Amino acid sequence: MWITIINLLLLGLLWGGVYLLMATGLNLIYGVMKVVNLAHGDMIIVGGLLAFTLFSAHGISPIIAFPLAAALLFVIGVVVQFVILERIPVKGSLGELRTLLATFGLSYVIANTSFLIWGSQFQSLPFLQGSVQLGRIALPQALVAASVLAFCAALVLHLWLTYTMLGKSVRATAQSGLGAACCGLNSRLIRVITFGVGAALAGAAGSLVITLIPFQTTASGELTIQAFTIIALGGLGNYMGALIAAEILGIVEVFTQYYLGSNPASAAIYVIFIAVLIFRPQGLFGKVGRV
Amino acid sequence: MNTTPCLTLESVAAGYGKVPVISGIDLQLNAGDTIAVVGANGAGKTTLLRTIMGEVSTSQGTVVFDGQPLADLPTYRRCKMGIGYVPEGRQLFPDMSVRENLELGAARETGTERNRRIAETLQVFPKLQPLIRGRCGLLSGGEQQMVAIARALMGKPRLLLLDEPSTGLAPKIISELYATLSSLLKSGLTIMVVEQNARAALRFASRALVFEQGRIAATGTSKELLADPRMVEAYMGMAGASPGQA
Amino acid sequence: MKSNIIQGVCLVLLTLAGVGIALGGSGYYAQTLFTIALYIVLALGWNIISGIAGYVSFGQVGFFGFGAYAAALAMIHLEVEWYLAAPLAAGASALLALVLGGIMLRLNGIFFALGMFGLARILQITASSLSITGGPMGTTVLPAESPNESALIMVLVAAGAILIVHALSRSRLGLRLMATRDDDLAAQSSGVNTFRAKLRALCLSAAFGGVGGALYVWNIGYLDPNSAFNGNIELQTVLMVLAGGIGTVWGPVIGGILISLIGTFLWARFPTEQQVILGALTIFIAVVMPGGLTAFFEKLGWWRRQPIWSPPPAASLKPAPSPRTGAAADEHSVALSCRGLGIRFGGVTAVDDVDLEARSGEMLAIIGPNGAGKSTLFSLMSNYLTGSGATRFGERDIHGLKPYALAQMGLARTFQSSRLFPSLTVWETVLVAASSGRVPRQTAIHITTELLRETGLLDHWSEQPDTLPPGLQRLLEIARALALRPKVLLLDEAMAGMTLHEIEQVHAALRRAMSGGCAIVAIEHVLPAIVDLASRAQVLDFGRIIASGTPHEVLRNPEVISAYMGADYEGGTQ
Repeated sequence: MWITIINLLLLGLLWGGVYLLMATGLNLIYGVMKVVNLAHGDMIIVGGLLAFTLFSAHGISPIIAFPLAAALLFVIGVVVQFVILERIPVKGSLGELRTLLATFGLSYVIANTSFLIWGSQFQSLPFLQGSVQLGRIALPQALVAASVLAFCAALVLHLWLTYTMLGKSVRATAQSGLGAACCGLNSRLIRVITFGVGAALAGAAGSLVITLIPFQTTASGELTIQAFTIIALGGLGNYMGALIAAEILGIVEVFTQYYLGSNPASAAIYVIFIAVLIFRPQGLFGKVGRV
Repeated sequence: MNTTPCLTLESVAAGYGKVPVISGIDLQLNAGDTIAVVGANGAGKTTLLRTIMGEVSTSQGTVVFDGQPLADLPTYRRCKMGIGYVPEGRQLFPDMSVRENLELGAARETGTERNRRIAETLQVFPKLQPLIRGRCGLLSGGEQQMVAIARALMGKPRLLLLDEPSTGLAPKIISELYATLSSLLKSGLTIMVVEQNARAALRFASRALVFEQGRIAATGTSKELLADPRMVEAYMGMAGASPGQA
Repeated sequence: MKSNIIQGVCLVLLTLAGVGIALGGSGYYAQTLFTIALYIVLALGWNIISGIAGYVSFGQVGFFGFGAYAAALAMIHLEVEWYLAAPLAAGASALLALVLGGIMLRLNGIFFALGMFGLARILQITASSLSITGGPMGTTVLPAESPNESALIMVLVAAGAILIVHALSRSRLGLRLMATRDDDLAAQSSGVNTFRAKLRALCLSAAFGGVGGALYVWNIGYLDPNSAFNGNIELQTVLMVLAGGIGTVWGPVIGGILISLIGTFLWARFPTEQQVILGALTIFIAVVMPGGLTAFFEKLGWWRRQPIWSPPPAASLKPAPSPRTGAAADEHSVALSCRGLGIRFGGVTAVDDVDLEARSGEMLAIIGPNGAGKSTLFSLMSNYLTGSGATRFGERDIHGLKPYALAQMGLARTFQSSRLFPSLTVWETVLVAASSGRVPRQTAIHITTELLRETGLLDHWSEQPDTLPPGLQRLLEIARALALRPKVLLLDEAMAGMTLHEIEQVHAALRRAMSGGCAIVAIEHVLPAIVDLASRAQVLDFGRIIASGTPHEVLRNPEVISAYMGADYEGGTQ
């Protein structure tokens, strides 16, 4: 029995890494611009379906598709922020509302475009379908690979934010827009880059997740909810908190799946979502959620 | 010797809504000048600084820095041009260390240049040396104020604007702060400070502006204004300065 | 009045046109009409919570689907007809909103928006999983006899919806919602129970969605989770309101008709690209013209929102009603007393063990340098912040009471930086406070008129606050606070930036309030403004009281002078 529990725990931790990557882009964008990108789930799906096309039509491995998806979504994110969202004057709550509505519309544009390109059937990417044996514990190869890549990406992001001037500028802008301006930092440029990186992370996450579960162009809402729940549980804008929240979700889902079945497992995210809203909107570690 | 005035405001009016908060502002600062802007709350002192920095747009008049009109330039561009700004409330990056805050003040320079400037700045503010790795959010008010000024200095500004730097600080810290500002004047820095604590600002600056209801009510040298009993009355409501009387 | 007549005529004409098409048109036209009228109802509903109340929701389709299933289940298992199922669905949706709103309206806007976004998905999964709802395959009911029948009913319901929203926009609730939307905190300080107002808005919004769903299922006879909770419905609803004019009565109607027609056209020509086009349109409107067509009309001068209620044409000169409790308070009795108030933020003690008393008919001045903690003290006294110590309002310990309850009890305050309502007129700003609680309409109108006249603002009654000079804006805030007929009034640097003339008006109004028994506590940084009015003063520095006494005593205290002017001040003092 202990072996089972350890096995499940490891699976949960691995999934947590993947979930973290799925949520980090949203956290980054929220931190700097105080806006939840409602098109986030759609961007994840685009990344995944891109990887699918590269694999099924051109035989390109998802490990290569991973940075390609990130690059494509980076470009899309930069264009979206520069062309569309920058036109909205950043004036407090009205500006945030309009940005929210714009990302709402954007979500439909991206989802419909994906549908036009890829159709509506479920797509999946069969890659690394074996399993890794550690003694009596079995872990799916694809999950291990995806998780490793996800943690690497999260680490790279962390290093970028902590040690490069550009990354520090992004963090600074999130903490004080006026302070950043006083330092001569171009907040428009920073916002454009942030949105690009946030979208890139979403796309990269998608290219990993599609090797694990099938994707459909209309399933984006659930992904956005999941990402939002993770960052809300960890405290909006809190990276450490998001890591812990993602691991919690991973572990909860894996255990629920094993002991209760797959339907309750997919409902787990919603249960956590509701619980966060009711009991702890400021998250386990975060700041404000209440009026 | 550079004879272009450092900062010129001509007939400037500015505000947030449709009605200007400040109007009829004419002002000229030359390199090396020091000027204190004093007056009651709501008189428009902070709005003046924000107008110079571009946070508030002018509805009338021109603001010219070092011969260049500032027109619609955003705040960060004005900072890059050489105006250092220490806003009300300091606007530091609380979750980042003192060193990082300083680094960001010179974000566009090379690493070597940045380090050099940090070393210079620490000579001006030796008290920050032991705090250099600490998180800014945990510092005391006086320490945060030092970091804010140091950060602004990292950009090697020619004009330094400070908005109420003495708010919430103990008198001893305030004197230290102004002593430090005085020491910066040797390098030709021009300093404009908005203050509620008039005495410290007037002792530091050579000139002063008194703001009342969005307009400049009085100007002169600090000595003149400090010795004027009406200054005290204006602030503290003694003999004769209440509405209903002449 | 004229505007009401024009609106009424438009409504009648539209309804007649709709009825005409419903009765005389072919099945195709009737069905199209049904869809248009349905979307008008959904859009009006969404507009109530997102536009008028300002709490953007992305879950209107959730209430729609919920109402559709509720009606379907009622028609199947309770065997009721559509005309009972529809109100039942509306009621059920409103009930759901009551429960959800109770949780989510306490959260800030982003959580609410995402919460509602998740709601629709949760409901869809639930409907898909339960057998009683027919699972993923859905369920069928007995449909209407013809699309003409359902179209007729839908048009009438839409007309009713327009009437309801119109009534809302001219009602006390509508006024409170708009104030809440503009500034929740300022609304609370004016006596509005913002949570309850938002909850009512959400329930009404949900009822509209629910009735729409019920009639939808009756029209089409078939229901499955995918169509009941279809994201397309949400997209179109939001787009319609944005295009027409969010927060207005007719905006959703205009937008509803316009976008429905565009949608029908798109469905015929570009069925697979429909969402791209509508989504792009949403982005375009959010970025370029967020106020929709209505804002465009407003710019052209064709249209203006009518203020709620209005001053009587020829006002008679009656004395203003006395403070809230009815009986005038005893002169000099203690109206508000604070003991040991304190609060810390992190390592900083902002307020440290402050005692003070405010007496009826008198003014207490609180002075001190910037950063001394004066505004923080006010926030502690009026329960905007919680710290240590106790405050008694009259006999009553006010610990734990919400700010709006205090305002209704007669504790009014102004804020250091103006918190006015940008979308309300001067008249309505004061009216919000005057009509708080259960004050009868005529009394509220009377109080508002008198106050505006006394402060010289009556001529500006229909203007927006941002067109007023800063001094008049502060005056308006004071008038709003006085409209609560307070027993205790906290003024936070209320006269900053005022001209001498304006200060005189404020003095007159304050004297009137004090002679009516009001106790005033005024924070002032510069004293000429209140040294004539205040009978006592206390000086705050670094969160502690350093001097108390009459204003003149206090101002000659050397400790006080040094706190203001800096230590060792040598300047000229008499």
